[in-house]
Amino acid sequence: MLKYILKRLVEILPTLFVVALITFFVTRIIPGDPASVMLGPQASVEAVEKMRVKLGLNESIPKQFLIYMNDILHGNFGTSFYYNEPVTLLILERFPNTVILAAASMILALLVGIPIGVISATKQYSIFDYVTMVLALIGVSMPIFWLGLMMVLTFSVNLGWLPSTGMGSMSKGIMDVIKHLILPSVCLATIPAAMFARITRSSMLDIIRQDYIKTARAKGLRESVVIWKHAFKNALPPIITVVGIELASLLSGAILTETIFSWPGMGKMVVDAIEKRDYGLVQGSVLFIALIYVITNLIVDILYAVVNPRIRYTKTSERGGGA
Amino acid sequence: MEMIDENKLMQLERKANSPWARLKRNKTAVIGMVIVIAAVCMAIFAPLLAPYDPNAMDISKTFLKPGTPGHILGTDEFGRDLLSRIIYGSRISILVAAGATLVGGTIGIILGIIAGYKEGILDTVIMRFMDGMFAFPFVLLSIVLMTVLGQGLENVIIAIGIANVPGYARIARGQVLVVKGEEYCQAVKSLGASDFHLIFNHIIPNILSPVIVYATMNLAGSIISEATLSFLGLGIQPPTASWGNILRSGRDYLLTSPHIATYSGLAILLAVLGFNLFGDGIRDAFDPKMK
Amino acid sequence: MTQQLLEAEDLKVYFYTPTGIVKSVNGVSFSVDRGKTLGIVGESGSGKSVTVSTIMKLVPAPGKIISGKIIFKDKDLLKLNEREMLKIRGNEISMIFQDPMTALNPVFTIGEQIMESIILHQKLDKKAAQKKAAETLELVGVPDAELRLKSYPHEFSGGMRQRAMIAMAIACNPSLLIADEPTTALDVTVQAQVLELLKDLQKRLDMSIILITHNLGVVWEICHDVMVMYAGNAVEHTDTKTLYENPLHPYTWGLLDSMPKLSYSKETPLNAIEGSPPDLRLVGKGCSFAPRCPYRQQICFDETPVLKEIEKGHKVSCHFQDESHRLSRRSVVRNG
Repeated sequence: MLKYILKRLVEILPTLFVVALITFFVTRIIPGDPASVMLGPQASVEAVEKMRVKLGLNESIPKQFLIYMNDILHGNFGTSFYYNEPVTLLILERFPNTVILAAASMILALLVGIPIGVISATKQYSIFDYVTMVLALIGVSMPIFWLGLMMVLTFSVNLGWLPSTGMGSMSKGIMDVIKHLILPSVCLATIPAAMFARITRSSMLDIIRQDYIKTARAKGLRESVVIWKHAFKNALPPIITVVGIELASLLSGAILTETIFSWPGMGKMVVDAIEKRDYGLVQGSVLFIALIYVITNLIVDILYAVVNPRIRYTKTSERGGGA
Repeated sequence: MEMIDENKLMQLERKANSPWARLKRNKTAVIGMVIVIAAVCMAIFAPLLAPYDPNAMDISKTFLKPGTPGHILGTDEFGRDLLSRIIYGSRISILVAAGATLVGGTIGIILGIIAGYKEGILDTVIMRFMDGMFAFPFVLLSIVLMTVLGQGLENVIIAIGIANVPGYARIARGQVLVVKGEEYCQAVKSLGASDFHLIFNHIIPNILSPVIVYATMNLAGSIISEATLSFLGLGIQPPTASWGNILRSGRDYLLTSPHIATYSGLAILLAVLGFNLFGDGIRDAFDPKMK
Repeated sequence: MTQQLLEAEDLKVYFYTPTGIVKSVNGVSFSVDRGKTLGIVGESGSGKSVTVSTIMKLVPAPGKIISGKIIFKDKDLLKLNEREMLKIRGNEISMIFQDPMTALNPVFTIGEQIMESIILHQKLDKKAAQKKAAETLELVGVPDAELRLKSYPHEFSGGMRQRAMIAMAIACNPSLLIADEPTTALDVTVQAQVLELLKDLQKRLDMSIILITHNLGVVWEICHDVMVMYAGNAVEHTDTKTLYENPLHPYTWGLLDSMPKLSYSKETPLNAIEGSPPDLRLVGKGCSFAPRCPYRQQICFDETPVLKEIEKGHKVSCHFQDESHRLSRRSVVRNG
């Protein structure tokens, strides 16, 4: 098992390198000179020149890249033009809020999506199955920002039950934060929940047809044991794959959800930074998000191997693996 | 009991199981197809279908509620008819979806074929780069590309197209590897066929079906991507009507005139739903495991 | 104590499909004696698998058990509710399937799967169950049983997997073992070993076996009695020796004739019964084999024949075979 983990860790190194490369080049292509953007239009030519030296912009591109890589390995993700603070600091302030939102959403999505998928599979063709699958299809087709707005419209504006912006504060008690968390996390959880329901149902349907399910029933096991112990465990691999994909795409969804609900997380920070043309912050945040994405996928891969013992013995290239 | 000619039975079975026939039988896929065709028609015939000029402002008629005579869906903050703007918005969505799929698909498939066919160093380099691109959440990648390229329709298509490339590359490459290993490929090669001939006449026809399935699903994603970019202010700029930017301005008036946000979003939902249903249907029709 | 362990009477199982009602089992009766093996022979679609699934009451949807009785240890199984059946499955009646690779759960070890039955039915604790599982695995001839408990199914060879599946089935010492084509997926040499194992286990555990197969060679090896099925009906039912020496149903003649013999040279064409099995949605009155039978007469299409005991212990279902009147055995096959 350990060997497998080490193997995967080595495999993602080139991917991480490419990520850094892409982020570096993309921001170098952006028109405009970062130094003058930072200092504003009033700055003198000498000040701009000094800033350029400070930012290392007068070096050759390959040298800049080396400086950049060196910075990253030391945890320096650059400086925000707008806030004039290290990006790392800003990330540390805002990332935990995104994690809270993402975690709450993921838990909701799993708790709702997977059982619905299992029940739909066992009751194939029933009304329950039909209704939930239609809802799930609508769920994955919805633009998340529209869902957010509709939720705000219904629950905040028309019904006045829940707040629509901000995170609340712990000083008012944890219930305040939870109240603020409900709408955004339900909104963010909708698409993953729908995806989980669909993939769980599809995977369970495949598994229920298998011979070893016949064997389990022939042993005299109760149907609930047959479904949840024998079938579900085998149905997990594709579900985990989708969970992994959704976990990573929670980051994108968070960007939009945080914007709608003014939730003070990393997503909102990136969007605001783009609007303010704060490329220092954009570059550092984007790199950070990509890194989280890669690491998340790695964790999912490992989980996959824990659940399905056969995977540990096959080569990753045979599975068409990658980030 | 009657004796049916076995050959005829086989012919009938083969026809009944052809992808087109299977698709037609799938009712939800047909609904999807209808929606897709409706959306495309709306885009093409927008000038004929829209009751008003989508950019025609009328300050005396701002924020009319839906159901007001003459404006079924109401008007926006500049008095422009919402229905007309939504109809014209379909042009953007369809154009971007088609364009991005074409751009991403072409580049991605070419890269995938090269990687899969040549293998070796070229394969590793290309696929590692694709992995790197995959490391970015799709929306984030599109956002970053837009920031680099700037606004405008062409740039939206390019940005979403580029973000689509890794998916196509991966599928194409995977299929090329499968087809390359098949015996008929090796047979043709031993007859002295050139690489070019092999790729065009044998490999490409055989990688088509998974690629087509992926493309149909991709179209739905591209529609959402465009809407997202426009919603964030990065994509299509007003006054050009795009479902995303209508939703963006609709957000500001959510309390007083919710219809602007509601209907534009609904349009996105329906279009994506249609493409998803259609894509599911195509996938099921081409799946050899289903009968 | 009677010699009979299980008696099935007039079983009818129909499948309600969108294209029609498939009469999979259309009035089948048979019995199994203690410590003996009954073979059920027939082509695909004859209803063999559905018949034995009915004993376990594991008929899959859209199938329904329409009528019949299955008397097992003084109880009619078809009248028991699900809870009572759960106590019988895996415990008093067990089943093994054709392909051990797909019939064993790939994510649990062999040990876990055997222990599951033991813990469920015999209420032993984990340690005791583990010991019993190892013993059972040894009993079926798997070396290093204790070690092998920790292996996954994909780590076993084909023959070992089949043994593991048998171990799982006999762990609770069932009175009846149902084996659905247990050797079909195995190599010939392994087949012989598995059959020997089953015979051995039968003697040791005083276990009855119902064995489904389409291979008459297997029947000869291990079955005491045989029931031949065709299109949802039992057409002949007797002991194995009699079936080979004095078969009475034209379909049985066809089966026996179509078996390639060792004496055949390469050039000898293989035999096959003319025609093909009927569509089970279209079964109506009359003998289901009639269209393919060279002896067919009008009565065969008008009246359904009944399974009658012609000689002691020998039942046949044919209008023209009875105590007084016999058909002369003609070839039912054509070269093909």
